[in-house]
Amino acid sequence: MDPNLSNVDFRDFWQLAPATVLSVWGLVVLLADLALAGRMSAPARRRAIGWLTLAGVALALLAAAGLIQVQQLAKAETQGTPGWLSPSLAEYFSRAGGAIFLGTLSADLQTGVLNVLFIIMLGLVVWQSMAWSFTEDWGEYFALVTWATVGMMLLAASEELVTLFLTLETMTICLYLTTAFEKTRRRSAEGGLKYFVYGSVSSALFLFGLSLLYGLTGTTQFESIREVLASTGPAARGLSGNVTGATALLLMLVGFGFKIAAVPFHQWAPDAYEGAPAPVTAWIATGSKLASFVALMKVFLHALQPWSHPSNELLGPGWLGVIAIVSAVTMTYGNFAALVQRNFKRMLAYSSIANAGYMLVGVAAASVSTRGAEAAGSVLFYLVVYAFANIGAFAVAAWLVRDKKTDDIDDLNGLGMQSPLLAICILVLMLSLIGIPPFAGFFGKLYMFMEAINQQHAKAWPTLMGLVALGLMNSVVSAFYYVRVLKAMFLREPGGSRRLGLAGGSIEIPIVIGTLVAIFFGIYPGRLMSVMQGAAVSMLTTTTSTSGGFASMISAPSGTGYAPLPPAMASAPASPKSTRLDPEQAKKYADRMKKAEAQAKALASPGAQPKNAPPGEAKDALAKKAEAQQEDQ
Amino acid sequence: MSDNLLLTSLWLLPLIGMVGVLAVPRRSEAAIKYLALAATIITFVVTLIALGLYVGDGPSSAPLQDRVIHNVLQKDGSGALTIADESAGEGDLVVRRSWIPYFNIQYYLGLDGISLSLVVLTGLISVLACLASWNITKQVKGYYALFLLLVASMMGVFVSLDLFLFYVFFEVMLLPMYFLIGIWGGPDREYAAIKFLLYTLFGSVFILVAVLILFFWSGDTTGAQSLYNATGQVQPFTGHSFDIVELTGVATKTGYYGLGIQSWVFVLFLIGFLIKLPSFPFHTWLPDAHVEAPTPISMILAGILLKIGGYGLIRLAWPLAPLGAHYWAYFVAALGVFSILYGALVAMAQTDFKKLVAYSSVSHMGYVTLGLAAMNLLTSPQYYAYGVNGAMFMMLAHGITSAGMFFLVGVIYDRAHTRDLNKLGGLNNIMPLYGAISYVIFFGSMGLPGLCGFVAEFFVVVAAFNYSKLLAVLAATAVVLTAGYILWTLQRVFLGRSETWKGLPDMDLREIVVAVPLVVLTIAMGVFPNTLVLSWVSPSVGEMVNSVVTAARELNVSAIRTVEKTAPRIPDSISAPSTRPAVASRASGSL
Amino acid sequence: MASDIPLNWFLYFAAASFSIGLVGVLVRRNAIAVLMAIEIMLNAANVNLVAFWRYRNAPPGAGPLPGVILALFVITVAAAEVAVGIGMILLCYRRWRAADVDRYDSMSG
Repeated sequence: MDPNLSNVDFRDFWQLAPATVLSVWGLVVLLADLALAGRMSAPARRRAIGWLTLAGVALALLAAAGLIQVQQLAKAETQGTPGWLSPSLAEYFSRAGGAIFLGTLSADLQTGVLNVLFIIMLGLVVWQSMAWSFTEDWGEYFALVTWATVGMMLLAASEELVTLFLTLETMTICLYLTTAFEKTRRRSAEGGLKYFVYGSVSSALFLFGLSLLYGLTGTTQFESIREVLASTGPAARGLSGNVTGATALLLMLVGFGFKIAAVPFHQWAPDAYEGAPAPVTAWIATGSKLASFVALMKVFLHALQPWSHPSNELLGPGWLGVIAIVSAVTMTYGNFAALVQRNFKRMLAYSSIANAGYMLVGVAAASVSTRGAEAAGSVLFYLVVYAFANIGAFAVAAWLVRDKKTDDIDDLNGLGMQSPLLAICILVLMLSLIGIPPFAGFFGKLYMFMEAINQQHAKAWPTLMGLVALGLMNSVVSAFYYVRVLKAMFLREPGGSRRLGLAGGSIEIPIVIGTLVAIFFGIYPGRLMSVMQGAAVSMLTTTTSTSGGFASMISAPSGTGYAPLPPAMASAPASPKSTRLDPEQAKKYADRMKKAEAQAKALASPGAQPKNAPPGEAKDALAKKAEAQQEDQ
Repeated sequence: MSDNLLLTSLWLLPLIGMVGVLAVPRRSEAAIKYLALAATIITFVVTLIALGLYVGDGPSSAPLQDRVIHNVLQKDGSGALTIADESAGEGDLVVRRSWIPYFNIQYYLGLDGISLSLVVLTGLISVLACLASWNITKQVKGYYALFLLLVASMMGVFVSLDLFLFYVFFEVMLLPMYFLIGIWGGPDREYAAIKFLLYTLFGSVFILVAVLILFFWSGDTTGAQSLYNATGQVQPFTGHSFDIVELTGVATKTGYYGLGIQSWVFVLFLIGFLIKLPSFPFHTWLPDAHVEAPTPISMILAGILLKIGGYGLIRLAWPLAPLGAHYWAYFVAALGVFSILYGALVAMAQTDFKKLVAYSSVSHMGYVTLGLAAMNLLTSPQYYAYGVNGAMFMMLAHGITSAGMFFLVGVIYDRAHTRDLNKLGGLNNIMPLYGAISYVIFFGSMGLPGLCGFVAEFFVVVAAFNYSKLLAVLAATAVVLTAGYILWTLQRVFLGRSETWKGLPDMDLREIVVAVPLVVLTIAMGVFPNTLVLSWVSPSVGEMVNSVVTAARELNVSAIRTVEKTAPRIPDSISAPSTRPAVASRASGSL
Repeated sequence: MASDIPLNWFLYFAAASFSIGLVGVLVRRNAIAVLMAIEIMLNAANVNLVAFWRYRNAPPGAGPLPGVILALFVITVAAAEVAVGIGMILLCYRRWRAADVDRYDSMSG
């Protein structure tokens, strides 16, 4: 119980290098702004501070990439250590990644990949912020954006409820503030306040649910929560028969529902998106969503997985049915509400709500079977593709606000004739968001839906198939409002008193990079797929000991087609012992996990368990630990 | 020329042309036009090379199933399907590469008679449409870029043998079409464009769901053998394949996809492709799109795009779900007949020339549906081959005549600036050449014996007669209706005297160049249907018919039982799965 | 521990104050009152956390951070939230001259 602090390995701080760099750089930016405040005009300061921030982002990117590199090097050279690493560090890094700081944070493939992604997206957001002067307090603004990123990175790395809550708050408090940063307009302050009120209420709900869960299990660690939940009998699990558990579960769902803007907890999103300055909106819609989804998957697919569908009924007691319903409602509502929007950012807000619905399909699918990591990987893939497309789209909004002072869809009229190349890029972004091949949005959506159908669970299959069909129909509906953007750009003549000026680098670069991502990963999705699957495996594997390191990212084959699968539902029918308890499938899954961790295998300690291992194993482990404890006493 | 280069260049050449067009400065419109024309002509030449290979005696003339098993992917050390092995050497018009191995998605192209005929048609019509767009003046660069993108995607649809790849090309096609209608269309273009886009997207969702069902279906029977799988070895089929040829083999020769699932797959494919075809009740986007679209785009739309619906039915809906098709046959046939009659009747009521032609397309496409659905497989299956051959021929014939008709409408619209049939008149005296060309093409569309439409309608009606007398009689009645509206139209436009239009110039050289190939083909395909088309198309059609018939006879036990009660005699000519099916050769030989 | 106040009492208290806070958020229109209600909710969760920490044995494998540590952190987080919240409310008050959340309605749809 009482933590022995001497167990902390202070070399763990190296694993946090990117986050440390960014948090320190926030202070640097703040101080630099203070020093420059009297001497420079606000626009000049915007550029100076913006470049300074970008330098920090580059430094952090270097740190994150370097970390991956060092891990790989240290692992590859098992015989001798690289000369420039001190022996102690070489030993430390050659140990497989996994848990750091007593298991409160993870430092593995998943965090490595996500850190790099967060930093790249932060770079685009910072770049986009330099487009125009929506505020004068540049130091504070850039510092807050940077710190929000630190929150996201640690949120995605957290392995335990206390760090989860703290990092969630770090992220959202910074975002509340930046939302209200546009001083010249009322709606910015209003959006900020609404975001704040909804956000902090949801935090309070989440915290209360968290406290109940802590009461039920006595622990905050994801892995041990999972063990405790799995060891209690089926009757006590889930929503029925356990009021406390049900309350905890629902409250945590509500909390996450707010963060990812799922219906019916979405009301803040349109106002906050419309009110916030465009770069901040981009950061709320992408970084915050990505981090929240990762946290959601960790909590629900890892810690609360035993409560997913305890009695093997999809709509029985368990959170799976709730998520399925929320997902269906979210995507439908989001799309239909987006149809009537005139404001570009508000439309994107509803589209982001709808996208949360699609992603929940993947989350629901990931919990029902032994192919959970693959499904979670597809959600990550979709999140990345979605995030880059959205950063580009919000850069367009920034452009509109800068030059036209409004950001309605009609403000895009005639863009196709005025700057055809950028218009084509925006076209690609919109098509990717609709899900039209050959762009990445299409493949991402299809990949997620295919993983959802592929869950070999006889009872869940009809529901998942229904969700997928609904999702596909919703994509058609979504085409209607995205096409309005295309219509404005290409089919209309330019109008209005103000014209769009030249975009400038700070607007062009996010748009172009979003476009390139959409094209490249639409045609060659393979590499990103395997990286994201590797990330998902390490995301959903316990890190109380060690887990697959960066090496597995490079070598892990993303599966070789469907040959090794069981012949599917016909042969694994609705027998009561279905998937989760089926030892054969569990074994196959374990094999897959082993394969993914091929290079780290030698170093992996026996404590590492695949997440979806049969509860029996978990029970055994628990029993052993209990014995050990008794001996201690 | 290797298969890979040949087949890839079919869709890549227009795309390269598009990049070239985009690279040319906006002002030099002539350069853009000639570049686009060159791209389409080169593409057309490549299609002709492919045709030459196919018709010749090389390895490429073997049935598609026999060719694809020589083009297999091999597993490398880690078990990934990566290395392609074209063991049959070059010239068999199939190419297969791994694309996304995780989902077994392949870059898999191939041509047989069915697809090749449509590819050649696409090549021809795109050249003619490119010439017909000479007088587009608004944003020339964008127009030709989108035009070439459209050609590329249509080519891709026809050459794909992988369902995923097919779907990708199918969807890519929507976008240039949307803009071509939406930017260069008539006054109500935005409405027509969005209607087209939403209808087609909606239809493609059905297709995608059907594809996903085929991919993920876990099988009704265990131990089903895959006959033509990607690795070239016979091994148990467990689904998870997008390979059209393999899936066709499984669906028609094994019980892996049972009647229940095939019905679903068939209905989903049917809805998706009937929207594209279009058939009643999904046809309402077509008149709007045609009326608003500029002339060359109407030519493409009627000449090729509608054929993609028909191609999807022939290539996917029927072969991948033969039992489902047989189960729904009467309903589909009735739908086809209703489309024929409905299209003809509505066409008769039109006063807009273009709308009339559009509705005549609905009517003619009804023959495609009817020909495919006249599935009297168990008593006299040889007539089913007539039906499918007729449907195929109808697609080609309609591709020629409807493109011609829309072009002719465009010619008169350019001069008179109206399409109102009540205002036009007396053009025969004013524009004699225009009149002569129009007569040939409209009569061809009407189905005058000796012209191309007749062959198709005759085949289909013969097949229908052996399927259901009632439907055949109704379909035959429609011939009268068709004659009615076409003759009436010709009368209103060409006969009589008109002072209003005096002085309109006759067709110029460019327009004649566009029209003459269509006129020649209209006549030639009517006079030599066998030599020109059926000799190389109908073997492939025969393979498709054979597999559907085999499936119906061997898998559809209940249907056989009912038939045995009434007509116990099953002709043997179908049962032998010979290399060149007897059915088809008999059908084509009987001409 | 047996002679202590039963755990349930703490839980009832926490649940009651949490409900009071939630009702306050939903009912009160004054922004400051809403902020106070949020504080009440956070503190209710704190009571839960501390009570559970005191009464419940940690299972083996429990992490190094028990509930009481979280409670301490929550206090600081709550302070930060109040600071941010007051700042936001002041910002809006300057624009609208009102602290009534229903008045802030420049965006809708």
